[in-house]
Amino acid sequence: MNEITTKILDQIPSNVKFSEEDADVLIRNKDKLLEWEDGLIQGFYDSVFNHDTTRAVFTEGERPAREQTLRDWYQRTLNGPFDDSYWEWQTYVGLVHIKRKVNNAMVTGMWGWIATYLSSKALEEFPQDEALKLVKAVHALQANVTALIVESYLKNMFVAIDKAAGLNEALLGRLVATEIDDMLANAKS
Amino acid sequence: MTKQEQLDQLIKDLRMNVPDITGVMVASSDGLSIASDFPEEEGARIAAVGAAASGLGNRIAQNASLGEVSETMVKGNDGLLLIYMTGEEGVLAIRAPAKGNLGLVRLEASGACESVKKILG
Repeated sequence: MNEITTKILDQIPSNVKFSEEDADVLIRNKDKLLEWEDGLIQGFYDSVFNHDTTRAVFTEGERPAREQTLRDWYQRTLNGPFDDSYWEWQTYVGLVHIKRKVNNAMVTGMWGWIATYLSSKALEEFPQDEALKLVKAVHALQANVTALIVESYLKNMFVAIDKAAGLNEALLGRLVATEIDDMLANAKS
Repeated sequence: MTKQEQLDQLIKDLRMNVPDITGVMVASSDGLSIASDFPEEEGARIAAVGAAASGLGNRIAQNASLGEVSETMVKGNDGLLLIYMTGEEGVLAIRAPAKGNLGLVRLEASGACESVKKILG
């Protein structure tokens, strides 16, 4: 997980990536942010369970367990530290999502909800200067975490295909390259 | 001779020794054409799918306990494609007519594989 995590995070421009300053902003405001926890958990899973496609990911009666998972993630995030094990955990989530059939549209959509929720609360409840720092930190966190989850999802798909069918990522890239120009031409027409 | 020239010569020799053959390619195991006399428009695709077939053939052999793969063959009504691993990094693909002299193709392919291994090694 360490190698893939580093490779993914290296793809993000440094001015966009989650920084120590972002970490400081979240941690110094964690008491207030933790007050929003129940609303975050409730709103997140209300959205997920009010949509047929996302609801279909879950088994009957699973919601409380998944709410606890999100709660644990939120608390661990606000308590820090943002060390290797934290980011590797996010990469691991991409692998879990393959198993659970949580696709990347669902992830990016729901992360948009989280960012909007936390940003709105920050703008409502903090002085503007601190609120803007919080909004920036939340969006940088979103950038890192979604990058790790969706790239891990994709890269681990490639790994599984290689293990199952002997087609490594370079070869898959070559196969894609043989078709992509035709696909682009067809998409334009 | 450079490696490229040696591979080009090997392809010419193979074609001369077995006139039935309609195309020969040496590709990397990740599907990049290294030397080929397939028409240019076919080359990139054949290199990629040839390497893919070889990789898939290996996995099938592992899962079905077939032992080391000596050849992967795709046979159609109009012809066949024989694919051979040439060490860890290379693949040799040979296209021949469906009703050609398969025994002779295989015999020449065996020698060609050893030569490709030496050239790429």
